[in-house]
Amino acid sequence: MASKPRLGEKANDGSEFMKLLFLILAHNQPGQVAELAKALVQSAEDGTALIHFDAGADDKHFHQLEELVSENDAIRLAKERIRCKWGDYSLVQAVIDCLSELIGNGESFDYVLLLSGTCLPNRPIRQLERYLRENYGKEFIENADPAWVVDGLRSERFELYFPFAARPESYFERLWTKSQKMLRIKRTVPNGLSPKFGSQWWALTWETCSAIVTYLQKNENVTKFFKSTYIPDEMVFPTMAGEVCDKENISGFGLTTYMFMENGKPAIFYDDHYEMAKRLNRFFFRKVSHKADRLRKEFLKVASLPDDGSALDKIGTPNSEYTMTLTAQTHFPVPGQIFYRDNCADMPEGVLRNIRDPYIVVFGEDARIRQIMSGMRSDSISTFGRLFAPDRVRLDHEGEEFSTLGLTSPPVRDIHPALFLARVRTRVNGIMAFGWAPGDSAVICNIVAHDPKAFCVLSLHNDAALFGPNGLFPLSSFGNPTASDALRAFEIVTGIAAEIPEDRFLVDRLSQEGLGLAKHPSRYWSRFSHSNRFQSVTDDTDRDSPEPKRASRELTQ
Amino acid sequence: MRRIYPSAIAKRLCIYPRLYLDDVKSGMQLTCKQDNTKNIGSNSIILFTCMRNECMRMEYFYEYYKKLGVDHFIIIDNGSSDGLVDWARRYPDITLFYTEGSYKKSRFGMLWCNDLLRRFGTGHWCVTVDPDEFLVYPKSETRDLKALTQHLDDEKRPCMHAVMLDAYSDRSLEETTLGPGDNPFEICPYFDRDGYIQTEGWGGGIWIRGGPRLRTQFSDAPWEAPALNKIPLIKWRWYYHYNMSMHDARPFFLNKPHAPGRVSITGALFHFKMVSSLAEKAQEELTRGEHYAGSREYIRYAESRGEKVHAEGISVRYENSRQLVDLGLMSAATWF
Repeated sequence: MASKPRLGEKANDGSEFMKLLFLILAHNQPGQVAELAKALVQSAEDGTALIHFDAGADDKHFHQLEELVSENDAIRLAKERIRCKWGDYSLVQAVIDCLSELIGNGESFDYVLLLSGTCLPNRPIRQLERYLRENYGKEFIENADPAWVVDGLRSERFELYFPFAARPESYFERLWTKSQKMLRIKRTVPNGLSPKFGSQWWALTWETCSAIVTYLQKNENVTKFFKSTYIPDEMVFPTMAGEVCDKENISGFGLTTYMFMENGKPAIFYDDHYEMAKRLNRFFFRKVSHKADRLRKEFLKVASLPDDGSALDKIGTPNSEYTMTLTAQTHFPVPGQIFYRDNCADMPEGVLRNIRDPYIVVFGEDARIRQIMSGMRSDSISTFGRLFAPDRVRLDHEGEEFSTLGLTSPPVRDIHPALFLARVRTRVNGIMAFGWAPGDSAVICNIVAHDPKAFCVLSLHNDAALFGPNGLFPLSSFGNPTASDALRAFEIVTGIAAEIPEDRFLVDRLSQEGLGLAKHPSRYWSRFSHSNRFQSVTDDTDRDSPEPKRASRELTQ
Repeated sequence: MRRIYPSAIAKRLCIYPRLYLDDVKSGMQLTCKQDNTKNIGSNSIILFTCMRNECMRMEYFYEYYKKLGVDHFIIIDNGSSDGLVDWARRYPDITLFYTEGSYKKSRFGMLWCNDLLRRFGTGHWCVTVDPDEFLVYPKSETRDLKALTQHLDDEKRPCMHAVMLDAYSDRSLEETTLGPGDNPFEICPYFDRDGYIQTEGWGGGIWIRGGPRLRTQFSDAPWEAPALNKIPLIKWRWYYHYNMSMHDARPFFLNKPHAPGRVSITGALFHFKMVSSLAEKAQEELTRGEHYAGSREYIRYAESRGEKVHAEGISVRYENSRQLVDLGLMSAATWF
């Protein structure tokens, strides 16, 4: 075995070029595989590509590939092709056969990069060479504990017998695993190896590769052991690398980005992933759809670019973009997203949850609502009438622009009040305010009471008909309603337990002068600004209009 | 614990032989005018459609779905007189069936479709749409139906739901003419950005109403407005059945737009009905009386006399599939 070079020191047969071997496993799309191999070989200083084309694939495809690469000396086809199967030892055997073929020829390289036909480079190959030169002697392979496997079998992968290719989630496999567990089967790992896990797509130094191949050739029992493990291609090389290399030389990451979806299937890259693929912190990525022509074209062009000298310290750090995109897509729907989750019908919460602006609901008698609204109307507040009146939709001042939108029809409104409210709110600039009088839709009261963005104003009138012992709001302390009274009144009217927290609730008490809120909208604002929930909104309005500031001064006096 | 009554299961299962017989009986009305079914491969995506005098739409329809990745078209011609047979002759991937049977009696074409779906679509991903409907799904510009069905297979989904978006132009109905081979996306580029009401539907599903038809014609009786939820893409099995148009299906699990407790991908179907030929069609359909609920939809069209549907503040021009995702009309869910 050749003596191992020290880290960061390139010492191989005196040549200053990086001698790379791209080992490509492919089973279809001969045109694209040839394209990839050509691009890699041409962009590298001294690169060789060795393609293992699956023996089980179409012969027509193989001949096509032979023809395509025949002119290029740097591209070779594996002489001994074997039939590969996913999750089977044949995938490892193919790699080992290729490597031992080269060892037999007495060839030697600096690095061997294992790729598949669906991989693409996302950085210039020259940059890869610089990176390898700077980190010479490092083994770019994952070397993880069984917890690396996200779901399903972990240490069972090597503790039980699996003399067949993996078939995840099949009934047979589950039965097979379970029965072995019942029989308390636990295999021992030969030669005191400690099994490690990692992606199949690695980049190893030639010394390590040949050491692994020699080791496996010498120790037949190890090969035999791995042949009946579960998905050996994710285990053989990480385990063997851990055995034949120094611990500090193993980087713990590969140079190929791979991503798995929640269902265990690999994520596939399409043309629309161009921007994202550019930012990936590795040199290759997979798996690329064979229909992604633009992506292929662009990145094969990128591969041949000269090294731009950018910093490579981020290589190996995981990209979070994928998880972020999926979380956004599945957990944060846009307002009123239809077909959301497994709702049979869309719930008010779902419809209203993502409209950020708060809104005001004034509960009171018809005339009183009108007074308060006229006092409240300003640039930052759009006031509406009783939107949920039984006879018609009272848009009042803001009415004109909404009349053509089908928003004025009571049946349409009543079929889904929350959606109606959301539709109006998305079309209002600033804060929306609307009135609710006894007799209006009770459904919307329920919705408002549970919506954290609703600010409720209860305007209580000293009217015996409304508030007397037999009135609609039976108050205990007649003439001087307190917050709890008002809440109780609200509760009775709406027929729901109003769980409105203090900070979004206001009782408009009548003072001796007459109209409390209607005359002094500022008082309303001061109450509003004390509420943390709306702090950002009030900050903005403070800047725009001096009115609220003056008001709070008045109040403190 | 919820008790499962054997009689309830029996009741649910008993309907299937009857549905099967209905389909077969209706299917017997169909005669094959052009048989290219030998060209259907084992992984082919097949499109099924039922039409009457819509030949002028077909050229673009064929191109659009071909580009999207449909491998074979199976067309049911219900008594057309506009040369559909001659048009279809050129294409080796179109199979044509002809019938003069009653559209209403075959449950608005659905029994014919069910029969052909069972005969040719079993085991395939099947797109079932009307000739004026165009399927759009998240990222459909860069990914074809093969990629989509691969994702659905990975997610173990049997179907994909879509909301129907009625598209219209900014002119009046009479001025919006759709000629042969025209791209309807250019002629009718607008759709309603919101106002889609989602309620509980038949068979554990979702019922969606809304769009310009509800806004302009059914605002006094929204519950009568046409349904906008559809299941245009199903990996067909021999015991599946569409129920009312493509709105719902049996078994009931097909009516769920999402896998339980998860979010699944949904799409949109652009519906280009609001063109000048609608007026003629409405008149014709009123006399034929072959449409749903006494053709009440067509009565309203005939009454409306081509008012302008476009309205500022709700009509948006269609740009790309991303726009529909941002508006919440469809969801990319776990499709990365």
